Formats: sequence, C-alpha cells, structure tokens
Amino acid sequence: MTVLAFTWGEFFQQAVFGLAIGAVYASLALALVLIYRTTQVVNFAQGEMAMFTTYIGWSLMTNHGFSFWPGFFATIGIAFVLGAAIERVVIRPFEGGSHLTLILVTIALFVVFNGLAAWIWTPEQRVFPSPFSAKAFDVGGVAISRQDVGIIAVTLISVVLLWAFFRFTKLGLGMRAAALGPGPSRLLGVRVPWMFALGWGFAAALGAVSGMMVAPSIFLSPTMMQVTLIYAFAAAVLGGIESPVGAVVGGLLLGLGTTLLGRYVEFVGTELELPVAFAVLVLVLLVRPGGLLGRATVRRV
Amino acid sequence: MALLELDGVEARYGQVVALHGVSLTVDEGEIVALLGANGAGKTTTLRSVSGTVRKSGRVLYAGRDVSRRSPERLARLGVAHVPEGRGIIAELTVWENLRLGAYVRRDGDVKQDLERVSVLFPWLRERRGQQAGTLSGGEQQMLALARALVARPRLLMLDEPSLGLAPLVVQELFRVVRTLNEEEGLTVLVVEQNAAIALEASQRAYVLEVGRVAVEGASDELRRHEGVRRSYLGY
Repeated sequence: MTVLAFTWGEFFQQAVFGLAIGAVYASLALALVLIYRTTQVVNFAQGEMAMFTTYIGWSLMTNHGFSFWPGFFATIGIAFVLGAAIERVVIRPFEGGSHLTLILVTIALFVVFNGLAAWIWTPEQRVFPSPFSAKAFDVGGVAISRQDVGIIAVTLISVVLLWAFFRFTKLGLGMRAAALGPGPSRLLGVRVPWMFALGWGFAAALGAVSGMMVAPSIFLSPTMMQVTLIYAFAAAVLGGIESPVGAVVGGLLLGLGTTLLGRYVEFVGTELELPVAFAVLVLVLLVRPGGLLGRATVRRV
Repeated sequence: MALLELDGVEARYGQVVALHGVSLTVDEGEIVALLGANGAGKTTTLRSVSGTVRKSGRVLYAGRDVSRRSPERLARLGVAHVPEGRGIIAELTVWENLRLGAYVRRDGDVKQDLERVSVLFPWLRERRGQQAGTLSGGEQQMLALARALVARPRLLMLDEPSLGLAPLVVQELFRVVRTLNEEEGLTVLVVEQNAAIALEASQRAYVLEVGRVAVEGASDELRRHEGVRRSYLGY
C-alpha cells in the first residue's frame, strides 16, 4: 500500500469522517453508560436493540409512508417505550442479582433481537434512506460530506438535549438521585423503579439515533451494530464507564483515532484499525485505570 | 388528634424479630422522642412508618391506614423521614439535594421554601454548588433537615440526628426543630440515643426495650423517672 502525499484538505476530510463515525460510537457508548449508571447492568444487547429499532424505522419509512424525519422521531419514541418495557419485564426480576446473571440476561436479549430481526425482515442487506444529500459542503476548496456533518450534528443535539434534561428538569434530577441513592430517593418520594425504566428508555432511544445515523452508510442488516457495539464499549471504558461526558469524548476520540490511524499509519490500514485501537485503549487504561474522565467520588462519613 | 398511630406493629429482619407489637401515638403539633439502647427497635419503628421494612400490625396516618403504602407514596402524603446516616446523596450538589426535597411538591411555592431554609441555614446558599459529600457531618445533617423541610411535611421523622456530631451542632439542630414546632406547629417524631437532649426538646417520649414500649409519658416526668434516669441519662 502506498500512502498518498499528505494534504491538509484531505486530513480535514478524514477528520470529519472520523468524527462522524465517532459520533455514532459516542451515542451508543452514552446509552451503555446510562444503563450502567441507572441499573449497574452492562447491556450487551444495546447494539442489537439499536439495530432492531433501526429496522422499525426502516419499515416505517419504506412500508408505511413516513418520510425521514417523522419516521425518525416516531422510531425514537418506539425505542423509548421498548427500552422501558424491557427493563420492567425482563431486567426487573433479576434486579439485585449477581452481575453474571444480568450479563447472561442481556446476552439472551442480544440473541433474541438478532434472531427476531432476521426472522421478521430476513438477513438480507437493505438500503436505509439518508436525510442528508449526497452532495458536499465546499469549505475553502475542501469537500466535506454533508452526511458526516449531519451525523455529527444530530448526535451532538441529542447528547445536549439529554444533558439538559438531566441537568435542569425535576424528572432528570429524580433519575440521577435514583441512580446514586435509591434508598434515600424513595424516602423523598422518587419512584425509583420507574426511574430505572426511564433510564433504559432513554438508552434505547439514543441507540436508535445511533442506528439510524450509521445505517445509511453501512446498509441495514441484523449484524450491522455488532462492531459498533465493540467500539462503543471501548469508548465507554476509555471515558470511564461512569462518565457520560467521558463516553462522548471517548467515542469521538476513538472514531477520529481509528480513521486517522487507518489512513496515515502505513502498516495499519483498514484491517488493523480495530486491533490497534484496542492496543491503544489497553495502554490508556494501564496509565489511567479509571478511564480518561472517570473520577473518584469524594465522600465523607 | 393523633396524626400518627401505631397499633401492635411487628417487624422482623429474616428470622430476627425487631419489633414485638409496638403501639404509640403522635399528636398533631407535638414533638415525640423515641429512646432506647442500640437494637431496641427505634430505627425499625420509623422504618415501619415510612414503609421501608416488612411489618404486620396497623399504621394510621392522618386518619387513614397506610400500613401497605410504599415509601414513595408516604413521602407524597407528607411524611418526611430523615434516615439513619442522613441519606444525603453525596455526588449531587447541596442545591440539588435541596431541590430533591421538593420532588413531591406539586404547587409552585418551592422557591419560597428554598428561601426559608436558606434563612435557617445561611451557609446553604453560599455553598449551593458544592458536592454534598464534601460537607462535614454536621453540615450534612443540617442539609438533610433542610431538605426534609423543603418538602413541607406534616410529620417529620428524624433518626438519631445527634449521631457523631459536636454538642454545639446538636444544640443548634434541636433549636431549629423546636422553633419550627413552636412557630409552625410542625409534628416531629425523633429517635435519639442522646436521651438528655431529646427529653429536653420533646413534650412526650417512649422508651423502647428489645422491640417493646417499656416506658411512656411526658418528657418532664421521664426525666425524673428512676429507671430512665439510671439507664439513659446516666445519673
């Protein structure tokens, strides 16, 4: 493989492309962190839930006459309800059980959603409509894909909305309190079990966003989110599994890093992106075991 | 009129029976103290009211049977339970903890109540953005009290507010509780190991021994009661 001459224009293109991929990792990683923080569950089914809801979106848009944005928001709503229902029906009975049991339950969910998607929609690859035109922005002579910019924008908007919800609303405060101190929160009137279900709902909705954003560029198939989930896990751990900001930063860094590595480091190429990314991740964790933005909580008794 | 009435309440943790049929009443506008040694069942009595322990027997609050109500529901009915260990959420800020106190409120006067507790404890406003876990023990106890007040409760239940605090801080806490009781008629049920201060602050008291009410009466009388004096006041 020969490396083409370096130009800043191309570097910029690659960086935007990397950030767009990173945005998809980031939203899925944030979904993982949300569920981990509310219910201490590592949700291996997060990617498959995203894939499944993306299929629902596809079905709305291609078979039920929805145009993209109404279909997009309807799918987010459906994903929210689905996520909350999964928590209430499937996760609730195992609450407080061992981590191993809960991991098995989410792996079971993984298999179920994967199987269901293949059964309902067949494993055949499908084209997912894109809301962004295939044209490019011209930034000082450099062509920047509208698709990439759109993905970054949609992801950032959903992350900021979610942050504002948690930061400024009463319900958001209740959800944070329920996650941090379920016992005292109940005494203050917070309906803790419902807060957990809402946490799963928000996570599923974010997953749907990431699925619908990535689907136009990789085709729709029952396995479409599996590699993304691995990256999302890496992003969440890189950022510190408890830190929402960390998950987003981790996702963007990972997307940017792997893209630039694959493009500019000769021996890496596309094939070695994933292993090299993980080697870097392991190195980072050796230096900072809590992740980049994981922090110890100060407590006084 | 009795705001709270426990009638033959029994509770157990697994095989261990914590309460063997406790009956007590708290009238509207009263401060009632619940005294007793470690393991006498004081905390369990409060927990049986707020619905955080399995029990049998009846709990009446404001005339209705609330024995089967969830803690969330009781909080909404106006019972503020400041638990053992204060229940401060360490990772949230001082102000977020206070806002959490207003979680059950449906009316729009929350600002006014935040204002009111800021007058009672002026430092709350100055340190509103500080992580609550970094406060000292006494400050955390005051924050817990302030948070309970923001809920505008009809019944305030305090579990060992004096635990681990300096004597001056304890006095300050009880002074605030008494002021609220005298000026606003707040009803209080307080669990204490520090019998001296609890009997001073309360109008009536119950002494629990191994899950049963052993002695009850007006706080003044209990202070002169031979057994109570020896066992709990130490003179």
